Amino acid sequence: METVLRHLLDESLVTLELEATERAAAIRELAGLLHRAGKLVDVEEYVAAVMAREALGSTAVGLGVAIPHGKSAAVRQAAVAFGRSRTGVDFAAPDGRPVDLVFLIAAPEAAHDLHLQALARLARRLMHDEVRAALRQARTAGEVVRALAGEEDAS
Amino acid sequence: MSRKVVAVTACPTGIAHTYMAAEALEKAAREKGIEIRIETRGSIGVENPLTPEEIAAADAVIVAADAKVDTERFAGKPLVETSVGEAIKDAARLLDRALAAAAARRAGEPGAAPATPARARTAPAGDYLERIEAERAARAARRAGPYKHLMTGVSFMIPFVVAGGILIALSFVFGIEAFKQPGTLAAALMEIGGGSAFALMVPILSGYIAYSIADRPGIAPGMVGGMLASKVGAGFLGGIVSGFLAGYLAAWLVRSIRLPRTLEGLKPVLIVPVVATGVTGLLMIYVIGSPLQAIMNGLTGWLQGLSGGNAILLGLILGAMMAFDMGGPVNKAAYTFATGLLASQVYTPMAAVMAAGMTPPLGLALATWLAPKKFTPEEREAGKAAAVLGISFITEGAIPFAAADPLRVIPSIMAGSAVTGALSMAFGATLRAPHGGIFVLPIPGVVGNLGLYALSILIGAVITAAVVVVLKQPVVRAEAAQPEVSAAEAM
Repeated sequence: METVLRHLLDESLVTLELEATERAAAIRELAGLLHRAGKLVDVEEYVAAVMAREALGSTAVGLGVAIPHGKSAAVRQAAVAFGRSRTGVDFAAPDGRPVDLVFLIAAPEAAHDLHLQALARLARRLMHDEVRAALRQARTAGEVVRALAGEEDAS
Repeated sequence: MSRKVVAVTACPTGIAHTYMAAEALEKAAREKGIEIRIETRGSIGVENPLTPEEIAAADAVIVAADAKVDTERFAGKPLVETSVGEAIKDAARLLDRALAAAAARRAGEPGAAPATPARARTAPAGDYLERIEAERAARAARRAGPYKHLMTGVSFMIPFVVAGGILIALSFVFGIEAFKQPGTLAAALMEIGGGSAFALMVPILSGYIAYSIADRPGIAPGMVGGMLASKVGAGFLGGIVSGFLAGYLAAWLVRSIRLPRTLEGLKPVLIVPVVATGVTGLLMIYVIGSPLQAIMNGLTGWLQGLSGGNAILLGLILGAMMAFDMGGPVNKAAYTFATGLLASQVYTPMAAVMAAGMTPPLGLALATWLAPKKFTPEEREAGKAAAVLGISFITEGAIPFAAADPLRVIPSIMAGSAVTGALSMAFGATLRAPHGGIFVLPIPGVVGNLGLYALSILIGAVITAAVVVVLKQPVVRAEAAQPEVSAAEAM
């Protein structure tokens, strides 16, 4: 399983200093990481899919976490990008509070169950306080990946 | 007592939030010492589906979803519905709300809390309705396999039949041939009811049978198969066959087609719909359509030509079936048969079936009135509710009486219903709407031979009551023991 999650998330998809301070810009910034890593066929189309989901309701879930996501034919390969913000991002959260941990999930239209299961497990891990604390304290992209992928099967 | 909660989480794309909400609920439940089972409906599909037993055993149900979740299977359970976001943010409070709902429900039940005298007097009737509701939900949950698929199809079809039947009947208000004059309101009503609602009836039946089997991939082949069944004249029998055919075929294709990853996306949008629809359609046209059409023609011809002894015999059988298990599979078999025949313009069995489904609760209500000494105080109270359920054609209203004394009650209601069915057939009464009890009777054109039809219901109710009164022994149990009995039955 670990290898699957490694496929989804690696150091090149992590930024510890998210520049954007607002939802659309943050999504665009992280989508840029995905695109540079060759995960997307068409970045505009993918961002549109993510924003369409946001239009149904902000994916900010409280706890300072937002998980924007899009399932689209514009995705070449399932992947997750992570951005941490020092200043906080206005994610139009229902509680009005900014988020500082943003996960952007990209899933192809015909996503493999294996990938979807890995994403599901990742989402579940975020609900644990110690995982979020580790993400907030991480000093390198490698630490982020380890915090998310580590002890995967224990959760 | 350990507290049990079941939950469903779902979100439109189903990639992340579904699982975060599930995790949050599991975590909060662990902290609170609550036993929880969660069904996740995400992009992987439905995982850990809740079983009817788990739902039945749960104190409360939580549905945390931003996507549509069918809550019918939770009927009668304390239910808290909310967004996935709410579950992620504050799962603990959500669990508290669910348990509070469960506690409120328990407090409403007799025997759980000391009730005030006023409450105690009104409790039985409310309790009785609740029990019937619970029994219907439990029966729906127990349905499995082909029977469940058929009932899913029938339940989606019914609104089309009701709307179509009544609108057609209304067009007859202007005269039985009025709809043939183009541009008139009668013609419009006929176009809506007959040309559209009834035309969709068999496709919907077939489509939703297939949907019940194969989920969404079943709908297209199922509906197309049903449409073809209609077109070739195979009627509802053809629709049932095409629904099962399309459903099992689509489910099999979804399971067994394996494609390289790059082409996987074509499976749900191109390959399954085309192959399943094509194969179902070709089978309907070239293989099973004609034999089914022959059977259906034979059946409708026989039913339309039915008179005298045979008509009475059919009425007897359908009537007895309606009463035998009061809303169970035998009752539903008779009901489905009659409803399906509406699509083939055969209206007499529908009339017999509805009449026979009304007499059990009506007759029992009458019996509690005629011979109060033979019924417990609860049953006498329940009789009033049974009367209301009876006129609404809810046969299940007889269940509490039958459950308390099956060997005397079931033969009595079967006798009454069989006579009613036979009389309705003998009088040639017709009914164009598949439900509604006495509330459809005053709508002009819905019932043919209204006076004698009402008479057949009345006679059946009286016979039911008379047989029950004769068979039943006077109640000799001490009044003091009653509250305990009712509490035990309420379980």
